[in-house]
Amino acid sequence: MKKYIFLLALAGFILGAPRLSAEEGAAFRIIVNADNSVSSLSKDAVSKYFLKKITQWDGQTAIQPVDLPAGSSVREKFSRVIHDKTVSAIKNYWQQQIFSGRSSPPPEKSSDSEVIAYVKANPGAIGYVSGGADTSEVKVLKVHE
Amino acid sequence: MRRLMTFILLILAGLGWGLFPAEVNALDTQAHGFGGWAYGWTNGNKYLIGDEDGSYTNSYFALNLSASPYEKLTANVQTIWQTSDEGVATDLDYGFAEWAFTEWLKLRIGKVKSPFGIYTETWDVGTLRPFYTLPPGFYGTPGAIATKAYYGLGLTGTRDLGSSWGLQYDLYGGKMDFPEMTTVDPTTMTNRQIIMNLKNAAGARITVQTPLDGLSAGVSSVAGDETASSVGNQNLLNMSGWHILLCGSLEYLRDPVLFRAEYGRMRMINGEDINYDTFYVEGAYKFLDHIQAAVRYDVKLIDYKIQMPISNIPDENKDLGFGLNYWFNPNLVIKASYHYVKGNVMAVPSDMAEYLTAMLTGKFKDSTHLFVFGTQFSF
Repeated sequence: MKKYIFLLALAGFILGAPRLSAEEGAAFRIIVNADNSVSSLSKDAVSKYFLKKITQWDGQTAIQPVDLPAGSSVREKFSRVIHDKTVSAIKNYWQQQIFSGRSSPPPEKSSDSEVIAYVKANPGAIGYVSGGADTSEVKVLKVHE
Repeated sequence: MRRLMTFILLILAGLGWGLFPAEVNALDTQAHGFGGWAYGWTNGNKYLIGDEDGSYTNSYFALNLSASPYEKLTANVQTIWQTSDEGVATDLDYGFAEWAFTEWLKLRIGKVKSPFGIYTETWDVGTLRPFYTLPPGFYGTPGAIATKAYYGLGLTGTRDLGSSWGLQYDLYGGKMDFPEMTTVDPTTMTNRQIIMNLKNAAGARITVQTPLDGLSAGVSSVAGDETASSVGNQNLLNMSGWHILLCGSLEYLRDPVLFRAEYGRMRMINGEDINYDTFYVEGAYKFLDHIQAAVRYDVKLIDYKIQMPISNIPDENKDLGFGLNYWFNPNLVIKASYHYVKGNVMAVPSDMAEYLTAMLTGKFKDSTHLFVFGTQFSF
């Protein structure tokens, strides 16, 4: 039984390994729920929100970050610009957090439209999408140094 | 019992993976896991996961589940299955609830991974380190400096100190388990499992993140009433007493460089006992995106201050290791390493009679070559 669990886990893991997306060259925009009163954030604050080092907007509303998949070029650019780290380094950070029982990573949505739908549905959500995505139903944040 | 536990965990995993509808997912459940397998061969002694016949049976798999039924409450559980030449072992790695008052004050209660040093909280997670095994002097038995988990209550939190300085801290108390170890019972010429723990114990850890991105330093300490007993209610060693464990850690993680160093010390403070000092340094560099070269030097020194039942018991272990890894991605790695080992604290003959003869005469094979090849993964 344990052999099968081990083999299944290994097979599932290999099949589920990240694949490159076709979004090469896309920039990104940070978005929040349209009702969110915040209109600009520093890069450092955005990074801390996505790493769950800060977990509340105003002491009341929980921050709910949402990610694109690890293979997304938009995520790669977001990670390099906002965290100043590779996606691999961020993955390692989350492994540390998960297995020490300290925190869990944001949910991953497979497309811009799913990220926008998540942000639209959750008042505390914050996400990022490619520069060409339709962001008319959410608020786009200005990000400064 | 094991089958029941497996069944329950698979059901919980199903919940985490979204096989059930939305009202369950509203709990914000997540399922993760990790595992590994390795082959180990030595030129004579049994050491870590290797022996002279070549050991194929080192494998493990852990399932990790977390759920947040309320915004401030998180429940975490992690169970691990491990195989070795001795058979299969199942263990509850941790299971605890956490209430987050704020980011800087969280209460944890249950069985919690010990916040001590660098690796204790991610003891078996192979995708977070450059070698298949942990630094043996610090984390290996006999004489592991770190406890694996505490049963009790703890406080933890983080503080942003500004100017890119940060602080993470832990304060905890209860009963703490050391890694299980085996030793030779000279009266029966058999291996005997030794269970060591700290009761009425308290510990603390402070880790400082510096403005140099990736560089952190920490100090940890645990003190408690140590008891050592052997299975079968026959004590081989009387090691009870008030013990204190100390650790200093330095870590630099910034792609493509990894550097870690720790110094650990265990001292008995109300009598004579066995004292341990250990340190290691390990470094790794990743190139061509996927290939990682690693080196580690690990030392354990033991100072026997009690009358041991057998003379000529080894008192040092020095391990110089070189590793070469191929990372498919951060969640899957193939590792190969070579270790040159001096001393026989941990490298001992596989054959029991040979082991006892060596202890009685002091004639150990005092250098050991270990080759390890394996894979580790996480998800």
